[in-house]
Amino acid sequence: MGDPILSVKNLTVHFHTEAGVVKALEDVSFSVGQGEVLGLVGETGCGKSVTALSVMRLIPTPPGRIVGGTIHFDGRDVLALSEEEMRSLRGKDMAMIFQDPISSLNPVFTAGYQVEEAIVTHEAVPRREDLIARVTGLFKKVNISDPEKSVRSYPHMLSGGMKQRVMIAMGLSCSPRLIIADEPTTALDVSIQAQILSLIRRLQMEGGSSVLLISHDLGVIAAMAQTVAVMYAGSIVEKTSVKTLFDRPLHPYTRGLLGAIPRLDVDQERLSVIPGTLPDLFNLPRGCKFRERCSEALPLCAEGRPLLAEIEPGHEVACYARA
Amino acid sequence: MPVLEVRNLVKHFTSGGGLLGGAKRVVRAVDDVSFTLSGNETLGVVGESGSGKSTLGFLALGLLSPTAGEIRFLGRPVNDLGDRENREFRRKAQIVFQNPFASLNPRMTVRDILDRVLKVHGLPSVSEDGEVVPSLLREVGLRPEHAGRYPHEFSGGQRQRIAIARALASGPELIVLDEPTSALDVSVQAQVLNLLQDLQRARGHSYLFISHNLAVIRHVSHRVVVMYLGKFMEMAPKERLYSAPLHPYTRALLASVPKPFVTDENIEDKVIAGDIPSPSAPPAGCRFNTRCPLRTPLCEEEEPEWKEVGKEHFVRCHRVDEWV
Repeated sequence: MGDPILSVKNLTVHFHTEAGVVKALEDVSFSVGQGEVLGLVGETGCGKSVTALSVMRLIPTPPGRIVGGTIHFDGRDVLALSEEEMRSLRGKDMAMIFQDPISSLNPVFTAGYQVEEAIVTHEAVPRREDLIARVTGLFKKVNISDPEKSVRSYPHMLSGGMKQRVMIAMGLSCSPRLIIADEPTTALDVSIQAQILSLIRRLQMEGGSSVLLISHDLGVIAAMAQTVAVMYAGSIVEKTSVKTLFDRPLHPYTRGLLGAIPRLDVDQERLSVIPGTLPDLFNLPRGCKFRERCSEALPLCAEGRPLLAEIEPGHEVACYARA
Repeated sequence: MPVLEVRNLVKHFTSGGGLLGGAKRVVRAVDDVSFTLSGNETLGVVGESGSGKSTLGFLALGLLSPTAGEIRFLGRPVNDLGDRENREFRRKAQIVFQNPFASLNPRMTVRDILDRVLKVHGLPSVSEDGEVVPSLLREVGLRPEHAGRYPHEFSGGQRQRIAIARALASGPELIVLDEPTSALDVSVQAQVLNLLQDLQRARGHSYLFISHNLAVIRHVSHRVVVMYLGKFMEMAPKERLYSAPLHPYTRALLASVPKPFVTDENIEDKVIAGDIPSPSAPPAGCRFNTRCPLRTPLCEEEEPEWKEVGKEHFVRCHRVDEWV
């Protein structure tokens, strides 16, 4: 795969609020290879969206602050770039697709205009006809029905699935090398979700872009990702190939999560439950952040915080009980 | 006697055509559906946006009045209840909503929320097992000392437990669950689903369980009905619906759910083409015909009948006999 397109090392992000400091991310490290789809999976508050926003340098500061770590995109130090350099990177070399297409589009401009805007921000397209032709072409590529008409439609005239296609067309408009998709299908119906996932997959294969896919849905991750990082309370607790993760999950949290999902294909008498709740991010417990909910916790787990370690080739787990 | 009997139920909503003009449009949110729900049974209602599943839940509780058709609760027609019967119906038919952040009054303590239910229905706050509120809280996995707290002091899963306790407080025979775990994380969802099942085993009430999530519906239901644009497309006991679905829509829907394990199959091969048509302009003939891979000319013209093709297994499809 060569050098990774995105490389994040020891990223630590804090939010300073009146109630105290939220440790949203702690020592998060991962990389996305050329043409790779990396899935980031976890529950509410695990830090997956903060990770995506940090990579785009869109963390609202204050209250948020990247207090440690590095982010390299295509060899460039993202955290050292000026705001202007960052603007030319965003939308051009790295694009983001958000969860909610309804609030991501401006209701007073046509869908086509908003995609045009994304293009002219980064490129000088001399003639308006060319621009319109290019946007219509993009709409065709993402399977928007009747593209000639849809470019002139306002967002409220389009269905949720079509709006998400517009967002994808916008994301692809400058052929980005990295696409960050944050819960891209969570707001959509199952049948539309399948369409959008297969679209992202096709475009990724054709264009060779890398994708950082964020989802709470292990089904979506299994269908799309090559490598998966499982996050819990601001840390990556397990990272491996998608096949290994589902065949042989090692971290107690990953195992708990997989057991808690109702299955479509088998009868389950009872769902297995992860007892307790997420720790308070204002006031994290000493030692492993999962230990209070873990059935395998050792005395050691209360002492220090386990780091990701390669337990078998290509399989990293942050757990003392597995070391 | 079944808890709930619904016959040829229809609910239309009209929009436009008023003072501001505009074309009058009729949304057939629920269109000619019939089913029964027995005691201690869970009927799962699954469908995508605009299928009418939530409207069906509201109708069952008498929160909306039907355009046509009949609903009987414990044998009595719901549209025609006297004052006393109506109070009893309200007491015995309860609901849990999707969003526990919106469904609990932020200014009331948990004790107030639960006491209010008892007071409205004229129920005692002390029973033979002691005080009602603490025992309700224990029943849903909370602690009696939680009674003095306000909703914002609880997590999403705990709030949903409070909403469940509120539904239980009046001793219902029917609880409509409208996407009760859709706002929750997977690990919390598992806790709430287990709780709902334990409560049903202990108390014997019935659930009308509404969800867009096919896996959740499989886990909790005894029978399942699949809705699409206001119509029932297929209804069957759970085992049959999931192992031998007969309607092309049910099959396509089941195939399009991404499974939490790695397969050799491609998500591309499982896509149902096209958008969901607007419920205010559903296609003529079979409502699924615009997206159905097995469509024939007949499907575009004539609405298929609701046919019983096996024991308790109903399907609305012209071609179902070809693959039964």
